[in-house]
Amino acid sequence: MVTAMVMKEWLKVRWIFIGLAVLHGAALLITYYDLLNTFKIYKANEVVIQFITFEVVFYSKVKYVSLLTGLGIGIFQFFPELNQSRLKLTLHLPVKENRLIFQMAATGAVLIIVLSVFDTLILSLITLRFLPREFFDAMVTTTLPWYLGSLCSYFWVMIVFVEPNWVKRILMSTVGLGIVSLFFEGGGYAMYALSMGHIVLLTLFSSVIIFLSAFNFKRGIW
Amino acid sequence: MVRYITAIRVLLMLIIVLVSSVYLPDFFWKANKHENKKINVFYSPILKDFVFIKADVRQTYYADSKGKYYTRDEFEPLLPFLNFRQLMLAGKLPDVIDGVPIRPKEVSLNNINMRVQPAIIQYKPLQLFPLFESASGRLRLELPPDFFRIRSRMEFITSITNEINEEKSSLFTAALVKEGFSFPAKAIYGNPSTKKPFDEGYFVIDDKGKVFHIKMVKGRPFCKDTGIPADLDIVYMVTTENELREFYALAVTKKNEVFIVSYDKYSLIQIPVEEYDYKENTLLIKGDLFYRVITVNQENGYHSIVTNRKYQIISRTGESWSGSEATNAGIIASCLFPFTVQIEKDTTPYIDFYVQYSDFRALFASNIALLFAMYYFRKKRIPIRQAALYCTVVILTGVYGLIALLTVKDFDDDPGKS
Repeated sequence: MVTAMVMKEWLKVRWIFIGLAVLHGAALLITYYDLLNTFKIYKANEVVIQFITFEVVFYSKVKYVSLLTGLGIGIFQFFPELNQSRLKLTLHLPVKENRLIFQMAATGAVLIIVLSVFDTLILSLITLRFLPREFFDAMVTTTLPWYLGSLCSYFWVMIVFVEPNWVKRILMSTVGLGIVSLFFEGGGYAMYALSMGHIVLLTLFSSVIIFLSAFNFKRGIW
Repeated sequence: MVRYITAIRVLLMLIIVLVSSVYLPDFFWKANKHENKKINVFYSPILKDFVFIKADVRQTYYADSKGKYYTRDEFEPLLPFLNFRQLMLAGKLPDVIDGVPIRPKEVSLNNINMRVQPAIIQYKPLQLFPLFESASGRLRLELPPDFFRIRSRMEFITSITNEINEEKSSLFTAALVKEGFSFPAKAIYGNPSTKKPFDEGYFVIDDKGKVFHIKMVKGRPFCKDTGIPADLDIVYMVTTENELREFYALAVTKKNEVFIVSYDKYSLIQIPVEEYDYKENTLLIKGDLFYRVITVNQENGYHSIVTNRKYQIISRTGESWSGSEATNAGIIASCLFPFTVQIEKDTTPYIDFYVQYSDFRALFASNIALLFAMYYFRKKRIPIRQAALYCTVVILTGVYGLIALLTVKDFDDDPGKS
């Protein structure tokens, strides 16, 4: 049953996932060549001092691609469910609705995590190829909120789409927008160094809200 | 036992409360922007009294401590050291003040200006620093090809290869070990810029809290234990390379004390500061040929002390004014919002959830919100036992809780009954 559910979700999002993977790859490739060219044009020590002084986030493209990933996977996974009333049928399967919703959410979340891990690995290689370890540490703490923001945006898309009431959908979109914005503030290195625990909690809490939407949905179709 | 769906509803309410408490006060204050007072405090060697430059969006005002206002042309001669270039141009620079001949070069040399902001104290930059050659014999400082870190040893990383320069690293590590340095470094303070007249390297606090002075002289390490007591608990140092060569740095301690580290064997001289909190206030030190003016700028006021060059207090002044909370908008905000969450603050560079609580006036809106919530539940025919938890959220979070309540909207767990 789990395999069937995961396969069903994968079939819905496979093309957007492949598209997003290509987008992530392109963003990382551009980041690599930008950095390579910077080191070709300017003296290495001048580049490093500029990066240190102005906290240049040379991988900022990942920020936008991450946000797009959460939204993209969320929309492609849940829009068909709603548009074609599939969720109604799914929730009538002889399995507890929370388990089904969890499996659906987990499938999307795992795909987002896969892309985030991919970004981190490639960015680590790029960063350590050109710059000292301190930049790697800064990269990890700088990008982590973006990945969490990506997951959070996915959960809020899911909450909005599963929610049956249109007024509440609009209200939830506003709340979701407010929450997700909190993950993408600031411009330097490790801006969330003090609040990492808080934003992890916020992501976990957001993931739980989906069960309320599912509850409302199921109740709405009774 | 609380049903899981009730718990999730409360969780959603709390998330909505968080979002509301971040954005609603922000929107409110955007619509009711409060103009901050800007006052620059100086000490006039002519009047022997404090003078002020006050600025708002309309105009700049020049005044003395007795409330007399001046035009700019009248004001500038009162601060001949600050305005010596303009006064020279106008032919108004006095030849002698208090029997001391005024030489522009000397005036320029003795003019100092330092600022310590709370955000810079909280900020932890990337722990990689360029170690300049302090005695290159060149007119200008040059950026070295490598950057250092001090962890389990002092390491230099050559930028072009991104590899550790083992020879230089071993040389400097050995010099530090010889001087009694305990690795790793807790903090490194310096000016990693070539735009300074000369280089004094870095002041490094080791693992035991001892302060070391590290620089590079003709390619060789200069590492010296400054003898600054470890129990001083330094939280920040502002280093300054000034031709005056009176002090290396300014040290701020955990107890909100301020010291200067003098060129005389790193001896510490305590600077008199009043009502200073390094986490909240900006410290300004302005110096000239005769005086040092030490100002602590607070959110709604300032405290200034003027000392002679030996840091003995001559006079003090201060002022406080009502802040945004005393305006009509502030009163409304206090009644409306039980607390405000800011994710960015002027006093720190880091993003977090900084909560600022209102006072008892917030109970006003909270009680109205609670009454509304109770009416809402009654109208929906939800028993008070079931609604108690939601009502608790509303009374504790006031208007935010009410917004959360109206957003969550459906509270009946078993719609079959309603």
